[in-house]
Amino acid sequence: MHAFNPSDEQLIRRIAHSDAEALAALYDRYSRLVFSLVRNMVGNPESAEEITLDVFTRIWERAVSYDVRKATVKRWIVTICRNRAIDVLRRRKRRLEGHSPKWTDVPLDMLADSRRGAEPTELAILQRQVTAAVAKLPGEQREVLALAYFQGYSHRQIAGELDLPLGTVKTRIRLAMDKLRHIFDSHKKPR
Amino acid sequence: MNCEQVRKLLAGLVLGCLDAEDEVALSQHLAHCEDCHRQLDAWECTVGHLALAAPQAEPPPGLKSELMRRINRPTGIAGHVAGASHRRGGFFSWLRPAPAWVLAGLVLVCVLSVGKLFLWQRTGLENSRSPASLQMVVMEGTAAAPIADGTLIYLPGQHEGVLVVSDLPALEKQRQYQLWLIKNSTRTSGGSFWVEPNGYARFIVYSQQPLDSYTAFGITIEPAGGSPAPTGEKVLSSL
Repeated sequence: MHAFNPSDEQLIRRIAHSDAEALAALYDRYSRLVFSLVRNMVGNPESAEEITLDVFTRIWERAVSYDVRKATVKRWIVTICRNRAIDVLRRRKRRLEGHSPKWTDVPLDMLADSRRGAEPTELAILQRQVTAAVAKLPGEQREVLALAYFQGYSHRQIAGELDLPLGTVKTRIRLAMDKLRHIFDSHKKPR
Repeated sequence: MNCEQVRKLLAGLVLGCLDAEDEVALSQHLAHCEDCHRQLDAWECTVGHLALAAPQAEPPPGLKSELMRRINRPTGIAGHVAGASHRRGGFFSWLRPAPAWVLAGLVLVCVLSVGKLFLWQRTGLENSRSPASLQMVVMEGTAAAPIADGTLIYLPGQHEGVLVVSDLPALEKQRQYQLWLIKNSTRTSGGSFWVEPNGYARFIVYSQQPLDSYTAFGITIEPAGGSPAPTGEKVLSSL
């Protein structure tokens, strides 16, 4: 047991040396984020469980190649997670039917840390900030952003699915991202 | 494409939603524009936050136990890699990565000097993780080749390494895969290669500078013989 709370980077270094306890700690820290993102992307819980396992298995195998100069651990994990989920979506060739991104529909207070009584963690605080920022976007911008981020659609595919001109899609995504960047930059961003 | 046009598309690049022709044009510009590259880093930070906006859900309680059981199952390099690939389905997809790694190690031994070979032996090929001195860079398939993967193996300070790729689409003779060694937004060719009909290739990489001095690696499809800078679709990229 470790009396201190190791940083993400310390955990990854230990995982690179086959420290299963470190992987368990990283899982405790990020499994909720990974599972939530994947479930939102692929729709059904069974696939989300399998991809979550796959993500952490990849972290176990690839911790040795993690490079802190290129991304924070959180960003690295999210990248692995999103790539795996998009792979699954593309293999299924499933698009809008049956499931579509949900972040436009969920009440704000449900999006952030919902564990009652839990002391808000740094991650939970950041979640609230991000959720609030997304909630401020016009619905039409959230819609295209969600298709791009959660479903891995290209500009052209979004235009096709929503029957919008390609230029309109590009503009909406750019405006949405501009606003988010402005909002995030105005916060003190925990990394 | 000028800087203004590029910056309008950077958000799309980090979201991964650009169409192929925009992505190629953007990559060419970013390869030699430091200012736009800095902007790209800022966008990556923004997009990195978006995952937090997904509606929250708790993973089932048994999932952690399943993970720990899974990582403890295999032993040795073959088992470790097989553990990563066993869900891809099919006997050969389970089996193939193991010889790929072993062969990669053997090829690497062939290109190493006697002194380095001694170091290799000391570090222990039987270790399930890479020896401390051995560097491995994992590359993941892009949307153009989602099931492909690649690994570049080298020793610190060395100019040679071994690239092993699998599940890349076979190309016609007029086109080849080209490895790019990336540092400070500059892309240097690491050589061109074809893959076998099953999508597998082993390739010895020679570089002007030590391989560990590069910060990223990528593979694109280029005209046979290679290009001076990336022009084609990216198929593999280091995370």
